[in-house]
Amino acid sequence: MFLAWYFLFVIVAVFAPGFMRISVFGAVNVGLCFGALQFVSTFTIAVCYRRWARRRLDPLSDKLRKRLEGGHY
Amino acid sequence: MPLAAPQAVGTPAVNFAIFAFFVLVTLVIAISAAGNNKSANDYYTGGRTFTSWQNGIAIGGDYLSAASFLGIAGIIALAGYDGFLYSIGFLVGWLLVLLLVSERLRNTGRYTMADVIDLRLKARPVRAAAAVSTLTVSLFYLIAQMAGAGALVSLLLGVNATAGQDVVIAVVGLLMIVYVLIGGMKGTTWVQIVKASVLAGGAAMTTFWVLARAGFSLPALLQHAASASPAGSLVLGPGLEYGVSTVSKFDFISLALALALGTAGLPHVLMRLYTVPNGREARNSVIWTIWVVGLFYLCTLVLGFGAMWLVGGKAIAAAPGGGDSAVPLLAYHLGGTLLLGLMAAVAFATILAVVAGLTITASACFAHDVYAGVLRQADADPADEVRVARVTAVVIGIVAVLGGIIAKHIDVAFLVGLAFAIAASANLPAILYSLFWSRFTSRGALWSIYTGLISSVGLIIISPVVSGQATAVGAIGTSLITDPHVNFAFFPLNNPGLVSIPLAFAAGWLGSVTDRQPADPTRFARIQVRALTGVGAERSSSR
Repeated sequence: MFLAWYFLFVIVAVFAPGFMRISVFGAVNVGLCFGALQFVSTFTIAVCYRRWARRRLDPLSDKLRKRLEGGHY
Repeated sequence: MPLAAPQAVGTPAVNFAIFAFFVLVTLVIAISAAGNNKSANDYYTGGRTFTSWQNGIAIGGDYLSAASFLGIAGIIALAGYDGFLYSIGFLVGWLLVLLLVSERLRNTGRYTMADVIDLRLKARPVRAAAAVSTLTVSLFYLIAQMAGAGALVSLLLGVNATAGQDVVIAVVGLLMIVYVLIGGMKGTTWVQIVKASVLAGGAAMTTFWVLARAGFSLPALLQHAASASPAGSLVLGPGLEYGVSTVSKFDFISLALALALGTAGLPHVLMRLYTVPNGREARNSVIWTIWVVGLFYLCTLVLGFGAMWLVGGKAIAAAPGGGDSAVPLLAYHLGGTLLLGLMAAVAFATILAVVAGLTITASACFAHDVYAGVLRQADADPADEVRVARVTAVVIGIVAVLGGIIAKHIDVAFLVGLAFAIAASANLPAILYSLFWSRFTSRGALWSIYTGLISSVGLIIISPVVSGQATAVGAIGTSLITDPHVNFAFFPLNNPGLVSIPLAFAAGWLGSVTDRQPADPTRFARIQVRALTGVGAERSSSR
């Protein structure tokens, strides 16, 4: 998913440079906003994953681990 | 511009003193942190006692090489927006490490990437193949760093003669061997932590300074930069460097693919995941790394455009080292000799630390995978293994010095892009298949690793990087062979990723489905359980 988002960005940058140069305000154009969004989305995914892993993955893994270490190989 | 002649910038004596001071401090840190590095576990993983934030910063230190600091800021300063595209690729790659690789890798391996594949497939040829590709990637990356060291020091110490640069590269090689031999993984990790902090601090300070000059307004900074550039507002959009022709567009897509997928296959990053006590800490350290790396790249954006505005593209291109000199020149423009010296020391430390991290990875790989895993099999004595690792570190240092001397005129960020392409083609498919695909077999692994390795390296050899480009074009400059009569560049793209990565994935699949010995489902089940829970994984040695 995030890879698709990233490659969308790359392909637009390469084949539609005109679009990227459309000014949003002043010298800040679409390309810069798009690039900044990539940073934001990366940070967001990282933080969300950590929360998901703590809430869902870790309890699951603890349960499984306890069963295994209890000798039920 | 005050920098007309390509002379040394600032006072070489001051720069040299700051360099020497930094080297001394980090050496002391490495020695005192090393303590007793007796067992293989200590040497390879620092006893697995690092906390997630320490390791996260250290990974950032390993990852933010001179290519990021000097190279990306330099490309932004010269080509504008296209440099920004590089940094986004470098950052996005981390999500792959976080989501798919970090915990699972920590839970299933001991020291190296080959451990994971070996746990799944238990075959010596596979371990050997993984070792070969690890060593190749490490060496490519090392050569890139060495080349960067030569360019940087020639600018700062006023060493313009070729022989002088070669001596500098050799000194860097010598220093890194000393770090690795004395410090082991623990010492090297502390050097990374110190370096990453200093690097982030220096970058943040200079960024703040540049922004202050622009009245704390990013649009104003961009406006200034665009009006200072001969290309005008074109620098704010993509395409200046890579939009020239269809070939260069595909070249860029190829590079972007390599950057995004290569991070998860970089051996020195993967090995760092083993220095923390468990898989959860590995996950958290990668999240730390994402923050460090992301904020740092935002700084380089400001630094690059700042250099374009304050120093000017012409002065940067004319300086020794080209684009790589943008940040040092910017520092000189802002804060004079002292700030320049500081930034230079930071950059120099960056190179030293990354080089040390790579060397320890490569030596661990050789000793653990090749010597203990393949040549001696089970009967290798761990103490012997460490001895072999140390000897290997010396040998690798020498090879990297020679390689750096040969490649010193090529852009650092570009060389690193090639290393990423090899990592993404040779390492990543085998890792992902081992962890996630139940029908993956030994033959699939061999096919995938060797196809990725041979196709990526082979395509580089027949690309314009090696021959056929007698005049400088864009970031890569001239080919290695500048003689216009020698031209075997049949492959038009500079970066092989677009072809070699899919090829390696396909080969892994084909090798597995045509294998007469089907995959062992219990092994896959076992690795799945272990990847999730960490049962049976190596613990921290302090427990």
